[in-house]
Amino acid sequence: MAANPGSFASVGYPQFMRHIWKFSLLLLLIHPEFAAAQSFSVSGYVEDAASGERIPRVNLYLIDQRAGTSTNDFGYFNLNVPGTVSRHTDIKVSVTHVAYVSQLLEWSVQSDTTLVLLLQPRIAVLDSVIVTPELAGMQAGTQMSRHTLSAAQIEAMPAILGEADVIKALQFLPGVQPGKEGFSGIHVRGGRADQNLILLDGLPLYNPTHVLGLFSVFNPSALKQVEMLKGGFPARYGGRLSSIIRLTMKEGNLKHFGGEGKLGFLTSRLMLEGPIVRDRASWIISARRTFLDQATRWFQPKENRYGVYFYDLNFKANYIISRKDRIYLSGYMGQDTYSHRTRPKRKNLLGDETHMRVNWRNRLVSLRWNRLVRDRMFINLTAGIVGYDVTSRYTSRETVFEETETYLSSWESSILDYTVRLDAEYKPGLRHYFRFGAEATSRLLLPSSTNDAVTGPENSGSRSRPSSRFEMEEYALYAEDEIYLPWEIAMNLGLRFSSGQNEGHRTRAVEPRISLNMPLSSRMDAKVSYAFMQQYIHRLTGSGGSLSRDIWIPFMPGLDPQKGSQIAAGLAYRFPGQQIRITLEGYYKHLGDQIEYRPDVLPYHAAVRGWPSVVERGQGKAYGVEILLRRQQRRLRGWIGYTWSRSRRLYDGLNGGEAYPDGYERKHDFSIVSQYQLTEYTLLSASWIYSSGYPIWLPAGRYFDYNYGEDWFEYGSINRARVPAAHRLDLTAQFTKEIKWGKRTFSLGLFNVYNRRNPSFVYPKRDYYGVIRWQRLSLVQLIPDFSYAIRF
Amino acid sequence: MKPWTIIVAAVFSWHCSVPVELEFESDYTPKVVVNAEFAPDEEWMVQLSRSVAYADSIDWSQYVLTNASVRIHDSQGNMESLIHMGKGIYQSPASNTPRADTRYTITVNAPGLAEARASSIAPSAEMALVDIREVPSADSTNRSFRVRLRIEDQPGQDYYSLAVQYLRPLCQKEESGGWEINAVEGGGTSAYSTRFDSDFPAMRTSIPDVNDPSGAWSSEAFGFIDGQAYFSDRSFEGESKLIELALNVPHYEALTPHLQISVANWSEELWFYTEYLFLNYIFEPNIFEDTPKVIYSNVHGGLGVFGGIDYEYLRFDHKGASWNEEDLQVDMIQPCTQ
Repeated sequence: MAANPGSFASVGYPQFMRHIWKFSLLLLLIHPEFAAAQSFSVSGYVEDAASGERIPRVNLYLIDQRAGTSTNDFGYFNLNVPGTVSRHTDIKVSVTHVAYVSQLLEWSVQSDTTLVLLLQPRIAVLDSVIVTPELAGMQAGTQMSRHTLSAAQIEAMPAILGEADVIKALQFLPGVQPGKEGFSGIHVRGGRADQNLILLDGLPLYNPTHVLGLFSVFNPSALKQVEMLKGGFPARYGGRLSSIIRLTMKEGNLKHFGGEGKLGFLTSRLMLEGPIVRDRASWIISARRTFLDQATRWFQPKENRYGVYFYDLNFKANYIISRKDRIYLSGYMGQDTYSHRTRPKRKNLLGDETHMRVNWRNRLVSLRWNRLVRDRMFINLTAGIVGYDVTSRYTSRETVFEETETYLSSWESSILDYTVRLDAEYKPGLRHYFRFGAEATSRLLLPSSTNDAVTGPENSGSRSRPSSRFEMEEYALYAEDEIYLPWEIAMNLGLRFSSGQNEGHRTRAVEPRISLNMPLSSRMDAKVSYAFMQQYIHRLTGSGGSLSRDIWIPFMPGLDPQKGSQIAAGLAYRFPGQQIRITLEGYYKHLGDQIEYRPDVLPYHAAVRGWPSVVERGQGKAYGVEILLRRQQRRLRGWIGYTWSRSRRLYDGLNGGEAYPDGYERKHDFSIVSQYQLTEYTLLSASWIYSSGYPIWLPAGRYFDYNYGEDWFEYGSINRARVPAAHRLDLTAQFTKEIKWGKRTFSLGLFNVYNRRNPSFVYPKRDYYGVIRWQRLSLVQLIPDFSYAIRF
Repeated sequence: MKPWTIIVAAVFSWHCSVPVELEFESDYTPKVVVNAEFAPDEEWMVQLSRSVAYADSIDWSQYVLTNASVRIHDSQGNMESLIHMGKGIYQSPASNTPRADTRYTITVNAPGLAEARASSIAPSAEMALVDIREVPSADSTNRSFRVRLRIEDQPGQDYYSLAVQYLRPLCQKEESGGWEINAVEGGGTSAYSTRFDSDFPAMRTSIPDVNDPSGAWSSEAFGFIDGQAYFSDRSFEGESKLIELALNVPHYEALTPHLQISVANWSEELWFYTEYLFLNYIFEPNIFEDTPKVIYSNVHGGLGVFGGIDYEYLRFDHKGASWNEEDLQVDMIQPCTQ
């Protein structure tokens, strides 16, 4: 590692400006210790020595002063050093990150300093690795319920068909429940999937999955790091109730051209990166596509063909304008396509020709500008566009006696965001870390639009069923301060003011946030947090026909924004010398203004009745306990997690007004994730997961309708039955070898080793005698996989 | 064959779908099921059965109610007791019939089952032919007509269906594999639905579309191809409504155009029940659907439907003269020679 204190010259800080800042902040914070804090600022960036990429979440720890910080999303840090210390002695700093070789540094600091630290990537983790101290006590930060996974960790985990999957990796963490077995749904602490704020380079993605949820949209080749927050949400995040999942894309190698290619069972992918101007500008582009449609095409009869494929394309470029300014342009586009085509076996035979095609598309582009202001303030300005749309198109053509009738039906749902966001970080002294910012989003929603057309000798016509098109705005202002109090107590106090406007209807919310970290000993911390969140959009699921038709609708008169408040408390203990950490957390969450479709409607009924009249409004509550034992930076590493949880819903108009379990509630959830570095070039991974069965809504009775000659189901209490528990063992081995122009990795894996038939879907099936047998459809049984990857 | 190929084949040949045992409390309490569509001037007839737990065997003949007490009363306190006529069917011993525009309540008591009550109105349908005129047809095999009808709406929410049929000499029979032109001995006619167009924009092709303003097909060329349309009285509540229909009927040498137009006035209860059945048909086979569609019932303490409906039929020929089977002597019509 090389420390370059001189690479960025330190910038003097005018005394009068300092007083102005102090005065302003005093007005804001009224903190008696603030003015007394004398310190030097050591700020700068931590970069990857090999690629020049900046590294988020690097811990920097002043060993003698027991103080520290970590880098932000852009690799920026600000480490305040007490003035009385730095004038007389060198300071010792440990710099650690799970994916990099840890270092111990000694600096002499006489004034505010700006520098760039370079870290060497860790090739393989063996026992000889230096174990460095973790941030301890108040310096561990106030953030609780946080998990961080690097792209390398995700790649090493077993996955379906060898397709490393960010969301499925997160499902192994306590408090995170999958939706259906084998799918990439994510339900955090009793929340719904739409309540997760999934940020890709700072902008939200609305649909994080491919193939109706079987795989997530995130291409691991393009990712640098994934961070998840399940509670204790800081004020800088808002707009969703249950979790924050932040995905940071790689920036591109500033030093030299490189790349990565992978051939897999399901997908193949290619990533290329390199400098535009060495050490000043770089680019990265990453593409992934499944060839399932092409591979299965040859095995399907021409008269009945299915096709499924998806692709992802990520790109990013960045340019270092000056020592203090840098811009990033990043984008993502991805699409899923499902198609089904039928036609008569022979050309002249009577029969229908049908063609169905459904597309799901994500689009995201963002432009970000980082600026360092007087060494102590970091500003990031983001402007971006995010779009998501679903379109389905069904065509049938019937030919009788040389006359053809064509029927066309199409459906569309879309959401489009234009967002501008400003975030600022300011560390004025030892006792405060101040963040503030603003966000504005203009959103265009088309929840559901159906068009039908028929053309034929007997009939021709069309009809259009658009639901209302909404143009809404969402604004937010936030301020938070991480305050370091006496007795090493740290507190993050924040306030978010949010506002939404739709169809002339305006609503506002004041969202208080507080997190507290109290060291009970040198190894044990206690944490408590409270967060109130407001979400201005709802997602309606189901009631849409044969394929996924999730619909986003805004708040409106008669349909208030979703509200969520969560209180969480926990203990964290670090075992001496083992890099093992155990956390115990409990939470209680209340969800207000939740909605579900009424059981007697179709989405297009909203056109005449209005959305508020086609949904039931209610509330939810969730509570649980989570335990996580995690070991990092060792030959054997991984985690063991356990969750006990409950999640209930209560709607006046559903279930007779009685509370019922949420459809994704799993009482017990236990997971083991382990990776063992057998040799420098061989990594073995195993994971095992056990989840209680999720509830389903079964019919209670049946009756016969003599007018129609049919028997119907009578549905009893909602979600009164449960499917059997799910569990499975997954294994993967990765064999890496240096080759002449890079490195190749050959992976072998077995998903669901003992072929447990976990239910993805449960459905009734009537036998010959009309007796109903329940069937489970297990989509992910024993699946072997192999893949071959090269990096250069 | 190499061993690994056998292993791979075995893996992929395992069935994905297998029976599953589910945890749930099987504490189902059977309920009375009422199936009754009643119309003014038609004798009371109610089919009664009971529901069963979903996993029970379904020999439905076992579950008809044969010893229930069935009473029907109107708002003026008139009471009618129905008696069991066999196979779960209950009828009025005095062959009494419902009166139009009267609300009735049925009460069913059956041993071992909770009391079931339901209420609905016997609506009245009133329709008259205003006129019929023939217009030039672009197709020599068809004759085109414009028919004007007047519907007299009663106060309150009403739902209507309208069906148009014409008489055809009995000359076609359906065989598997397609339609076949075939001579039929002995003559006769049969009523067939015919496509029609209407100037009434509230008409829809299906029941769930009636409350959807965007459910209308926009084209001059679009018509009600099944010969059936549905609408509500939202735009003519309590008033009379003039509706014009445009229709074509095939030209037959043996038979001048004879039409039958029926209008049905549905009670809200029967309309909702039918609408829910439609939704259930759409959603039942969908395994992706988390929320099942619950069938509507107006039977408190029970299931099924007790709902009124009234039909009004107009039979007229191309000159507006009414006809009936006897006058027409349909048996004597010569077989079609197309």
